[in-house]
Amino acid sequence: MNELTSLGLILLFALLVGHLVKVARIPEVTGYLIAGMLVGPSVLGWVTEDNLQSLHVFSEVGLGLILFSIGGAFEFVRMRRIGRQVLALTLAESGCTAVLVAGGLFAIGQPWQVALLLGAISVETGAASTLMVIRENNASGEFTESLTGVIGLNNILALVSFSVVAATIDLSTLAAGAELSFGGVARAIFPLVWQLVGSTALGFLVGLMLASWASQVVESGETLILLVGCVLLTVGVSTALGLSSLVASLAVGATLANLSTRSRRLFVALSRTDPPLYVIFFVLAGADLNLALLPSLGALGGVYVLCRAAGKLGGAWVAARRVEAPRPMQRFLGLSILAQAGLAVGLVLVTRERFPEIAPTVTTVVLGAVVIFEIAGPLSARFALDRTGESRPQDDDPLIAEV
Amino acid sequence: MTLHDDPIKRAAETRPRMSRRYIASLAGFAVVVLVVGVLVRRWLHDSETAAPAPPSQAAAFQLLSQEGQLQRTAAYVAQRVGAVARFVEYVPAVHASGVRWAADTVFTTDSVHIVRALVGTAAARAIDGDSSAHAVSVARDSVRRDWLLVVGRSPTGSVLSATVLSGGRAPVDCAGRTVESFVLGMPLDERLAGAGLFNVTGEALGMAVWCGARVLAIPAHEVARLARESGPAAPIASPFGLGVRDDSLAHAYLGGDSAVLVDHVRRGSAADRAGLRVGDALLAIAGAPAGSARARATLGPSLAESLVVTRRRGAAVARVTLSRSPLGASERETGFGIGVTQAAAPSGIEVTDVRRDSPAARAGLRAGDLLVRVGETPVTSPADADRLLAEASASRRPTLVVFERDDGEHGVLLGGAAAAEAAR
Repeated sequence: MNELTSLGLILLFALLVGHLVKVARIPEVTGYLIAGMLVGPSVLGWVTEDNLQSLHVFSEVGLGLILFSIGGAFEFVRMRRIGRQVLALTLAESGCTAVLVAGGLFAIGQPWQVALLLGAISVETGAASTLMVIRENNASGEFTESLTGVIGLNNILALVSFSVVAATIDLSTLAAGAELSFGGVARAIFPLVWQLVGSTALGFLVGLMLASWASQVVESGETLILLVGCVLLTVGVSTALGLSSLVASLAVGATLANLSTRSRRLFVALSRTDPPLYVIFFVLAGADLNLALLPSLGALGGVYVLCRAAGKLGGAWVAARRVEAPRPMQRFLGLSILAQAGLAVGLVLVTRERFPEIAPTVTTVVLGAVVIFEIAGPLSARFALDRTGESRPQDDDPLIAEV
Repeated sequence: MTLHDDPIKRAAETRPRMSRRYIASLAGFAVVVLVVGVLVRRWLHDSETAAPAPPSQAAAFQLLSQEGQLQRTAAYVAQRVGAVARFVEYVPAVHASGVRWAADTVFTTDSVHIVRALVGTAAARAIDGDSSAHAVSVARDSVRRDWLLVVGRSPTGSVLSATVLSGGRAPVDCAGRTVESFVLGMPLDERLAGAGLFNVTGEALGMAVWCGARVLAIPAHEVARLARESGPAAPIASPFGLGVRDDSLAHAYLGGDSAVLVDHVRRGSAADRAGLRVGDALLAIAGAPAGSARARATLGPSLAESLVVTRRRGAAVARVTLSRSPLGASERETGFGIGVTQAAAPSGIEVTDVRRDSPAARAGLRAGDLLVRVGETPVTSPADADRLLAEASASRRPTLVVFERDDGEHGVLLGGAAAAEAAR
């Protein structure tokens, strides 16, 4: 089957499943993911591995757009208000998750390298699926606001901790070989600094361009071209320069939100046009979920899944109590940050490149656990949003209301 | 719903702007960061020499084949290790390439010898400084971040291999001993115990060694030390006419509990009649794993009439029964550990076997010698030989046994209390 047929099938099938799951009161994201799983190589095979490879670019752009949207939540005024709380919550839940996962894996006899890498990766919460659940439910309010911030921060944190662990492994290998040269150390540490600082710089520059250009563009079609162009540029340049497209996209969104008076219009224009892209994104993500990995997860995967869930739920609960966050936050934040995909899968790819000797274990565990968390995460997030009373799914479609 | 309710859209509301100068300086800073970053990245990339690009397994083997290193390794081993050589062959087909240890399960034991031999040359070369003597090179111990090829055989006979990145060496505990080991990111698969380690240019680096609970990649010189410390292989001779090599190193470090290698087969013995050959691998002896203590005990002195062993030759596995001295058997052991042919020969009675460590062996008798006289009595038939030797070994006085060899007649004193005293 060629790519276009795959794409057409993906869209229509996803729409169909989307309708079906609405009846079952399951989040649409889950529906898309299940649709993807069905058409993907795991089950029906309508979308083949080759198709997935060539459609991969859609996933990258989709993730870029989603993080761009999340970046919009990082504005100074709001950060001044809730930033401290969001930071405390994120640090606590991430730290708790990482420590539990790494400790658990180490306790069952995994090498420290594997334990630490998986600990770092486990921090990540699937930004895309969680954000889609928020949107689908028209959720808004204090809880949703903090949730968005926590997800954005925790993705950055996952990237940072992964890079730190990777640098540590590199350095320990160098030290063991008594080859601590300046170049070796620089090579170990450079990706960490470059991915954070460089990506932020790139995102800032593109965001600046977007913000200043946006004031000249009036027509909404043009606005969209500008937006998509900028996100594509960010993702493309990031890939070419070895930067993190995720951090860069986030930075574009944040820059735009803070600099442009017209940013609102841009984000609205985006949310009005992006559904097909997101559908493709989630269906592809679903097709990428490899069901065959589930049985091979074994004890290692079990420990990872349990420790991660315990870390997320427990960490969020403890932190929310300590910072005296409102009760809904204490009870439901953990549930709404369980999803995992996107960056986690990206980090697995990095692991394959940098540590081929550890990669098989890490790949199996993360990709297997992603199947579980990507299905369970949106469900629990939806449940959490419903219980906090911030979701209003009975409202009209926000896009139509907008118009 | 209103615009205000969407978090993302609300985030996008109008914000007070920062001063233009502040933004411009931030932008300038960002540009500088990017430019510097790109330059550093390029410099790091250019100066990267320590870690070569990872070769795919297939590519690495192809490289090995092209360079002819594997072939040279096999040829060298053939020349150097003699008896072991027949277990090593070069398999040119890409998917089955690698060093293949032909006597299947025995790869563990044999690779010890291969590495011992390789190590031997490395040491010799280091001493006499002659690097051209052998085409196969043992790599200088690598402390660099480099790719290791691990090539071995599974107990089921398939070629196993792995490509792993090594980052130098570090001291590690190996079954109670501290040895230097290559630092690998991942533990090696158990089945790779005994496999050879090569670098991408085909130089031998060492071997994968079983260390109690895990497999470590040990450099050649460390393997040599382990081999020295664990002592030489102890031969076991069996009344069934079968000798196996019981390599304590293999058992201690290679997890070689599953098979032993047939070291020698006495001509005309039960083992010979059952068709066992030197080089066969025994997987099980009397129902026990061949490497186990129980199996070794079964092989030793016993009164059992028959013994069932599971033999592997190449890919073929068969159960064979060794039956001891049935009627009309052509051989049996008599006094002093001397086995003689049961067929009468005009020139004398041929000694077919001399049990190891027996009085006859200590006195210098060998298979192929012809018995001429025991004491004063000429030996004219196998029955004579049996009777005379039995009497002599029961006697308190030493007996002169005269035998003929290519270089003439010889005589040795065997048995007797005095001899036993002297032997003590």
